Amino acid sequence: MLSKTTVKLNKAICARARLAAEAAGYSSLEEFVEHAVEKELANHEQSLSKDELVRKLKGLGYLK
Amino acid sequence: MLAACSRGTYKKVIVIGVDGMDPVFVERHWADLPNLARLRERGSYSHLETTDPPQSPVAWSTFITGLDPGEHGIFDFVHRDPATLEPYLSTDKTIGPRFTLSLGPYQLPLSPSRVVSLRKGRAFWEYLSDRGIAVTIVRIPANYPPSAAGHELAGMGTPDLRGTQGTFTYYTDDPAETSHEVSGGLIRKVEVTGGHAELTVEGPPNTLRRDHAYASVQLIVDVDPDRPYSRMQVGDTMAIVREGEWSGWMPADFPLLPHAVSARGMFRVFAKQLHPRFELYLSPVNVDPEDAALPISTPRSYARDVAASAGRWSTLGIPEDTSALRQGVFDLPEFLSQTHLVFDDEQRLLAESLRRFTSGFLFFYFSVVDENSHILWGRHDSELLEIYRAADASIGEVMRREPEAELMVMSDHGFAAFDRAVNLNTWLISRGLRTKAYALGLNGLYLTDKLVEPEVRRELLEFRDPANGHLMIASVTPTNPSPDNRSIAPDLIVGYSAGYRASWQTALGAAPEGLVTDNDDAWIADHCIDPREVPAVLFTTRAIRAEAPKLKDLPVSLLALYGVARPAQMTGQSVF
Repeated sequence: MLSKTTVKLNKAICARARLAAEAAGYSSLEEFVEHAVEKELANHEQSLSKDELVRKLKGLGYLK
Repeated sequence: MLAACSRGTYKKVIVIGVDGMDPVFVERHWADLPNLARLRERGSYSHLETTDPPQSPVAWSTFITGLDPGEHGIFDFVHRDPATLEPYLSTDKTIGPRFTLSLGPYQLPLSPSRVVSLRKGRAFWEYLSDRGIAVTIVRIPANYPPSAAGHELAGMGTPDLRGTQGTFTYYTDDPAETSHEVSGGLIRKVEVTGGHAELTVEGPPNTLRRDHAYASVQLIVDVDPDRPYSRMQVGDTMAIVREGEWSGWMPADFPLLPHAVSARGMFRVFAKQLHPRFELYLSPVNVDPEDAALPISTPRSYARDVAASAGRWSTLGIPEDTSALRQGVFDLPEFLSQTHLVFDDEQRLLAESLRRFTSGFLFFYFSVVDENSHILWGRHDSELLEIYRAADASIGEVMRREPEAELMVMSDHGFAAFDRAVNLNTWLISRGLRTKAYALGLNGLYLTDKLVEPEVRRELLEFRDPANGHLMIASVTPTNPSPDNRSIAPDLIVGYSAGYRASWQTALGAAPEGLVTDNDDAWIADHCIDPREVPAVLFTTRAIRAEAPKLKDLPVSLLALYGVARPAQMTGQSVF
């Protein structure tokens, strides 16, 4: 079984999230929040600027 | 039944992968390539069908997994993020720590960052390893970080310590020069006072700092006032380097957290000129195999063990520095001297790999033919032939050392001239299609409106060079991605005719002026075109029975040599 951590949410955001979760067909608020956090983490992990991305590629020789 | 000689000892099979070895060039020079000629006479030789597109990470991923690109998910050197459309290296990515702690300028990771391969599918040698067969995989492309079977050293895809595919530094005291960045390198204006200079060597971005400032070390240089010699020192390592010559590998510890954490790198220095100007080339800062800061081997200790016996080698994925030549930092002889150093490294690695090879499967990779072909093809044939001869001599050494082993020599693609550069996005704009399609990568075309596919395909195949009327595109092929790969796959692969290629700007999604321009770069040949124009080569000690062998047949063939049945997901056939 996965261990869980409790996170406190602002009431207004919690109410909006509950509505959004229902509308989007999530089985629970927890599932919706987990998915939202996962997506945000994925963005964070990929958050290099275009210049940085291009700089990383240039030594390949195929680009300049 | 497995092909066992005795308990725990399996037949020896060796594959030498020579990136970019071209069948037409080989067939023109049999007399100069005696070992390949002997292999052809005593065994077999054939052209080998490559992948579409015929790009190294795509082709090697097919060799590794036996899967088509639609399945292994590597379609180009460059993919784009479907949400942001930003380009990124297709083969691997680094995932930062999930949680950090801020402390002054530092942001301390509370969980480790990791590097993941983006290639899908199992490597064929993992099926061998499952059966207890020893496998050694040396620098095969598209295998960074290396898979978890046997003993492996990473190759193409491995970054330098800055996280790039290679960034050199050129130090000069030329008063006309300024410090700036160029493609693949850094130009640094320096002061030399009384023959003494302190050069800042930029290492990895310090991910422990919130500003990710580059960690650096000082390279102390003292130039002899009368003779063409210099003394260089970094940390405890000192080298005497004569003008026009190279240093050995110089290790350096780049401090990340003062007195606590550092990252080890290494570099080579070329004293281009010591008098009257000061001109010093410093290689990309490679991962030091003696104390690797990145996952360059399986097991982690293997790189250190090999380095202890064979010395350090270029761990950067593509170590030949074509960028320095193209930026005018190297002239051609200097570039060739650098590629010879890389080849020396590879020969030492090969000798060490053969010394350790007692049973099972060995793959060894040579990069030197490919990178030199990009620069020498069609204009410097004698220099390119020297490179081929060197590779041939190494193959001869393998045949001499392991006369009883099954041997396969293969490449991933051939070569063609790159004379004219096609601005594919500019063409899409000219046809009123830019809102419905865009090009990114060296062969990829993405459709935002799928309904235009027939029109785009038809018009591309009719696209003629305004300068001479030649048809510039020989094939336009759907990618047929698996469901897992649909979000990253281009819709179409554009196969250019020989002599043409996507322009440099097209590869990054740009649309510069003009439909087609002359390629005036030092990078004069390429293979990112119609795969029929650039077949690969296949030599084997065993008779090849297939009439038209394909790259994806090779993993099936190699497994069959050990009596291992074709895994269900592989669609190739044994060539034997």
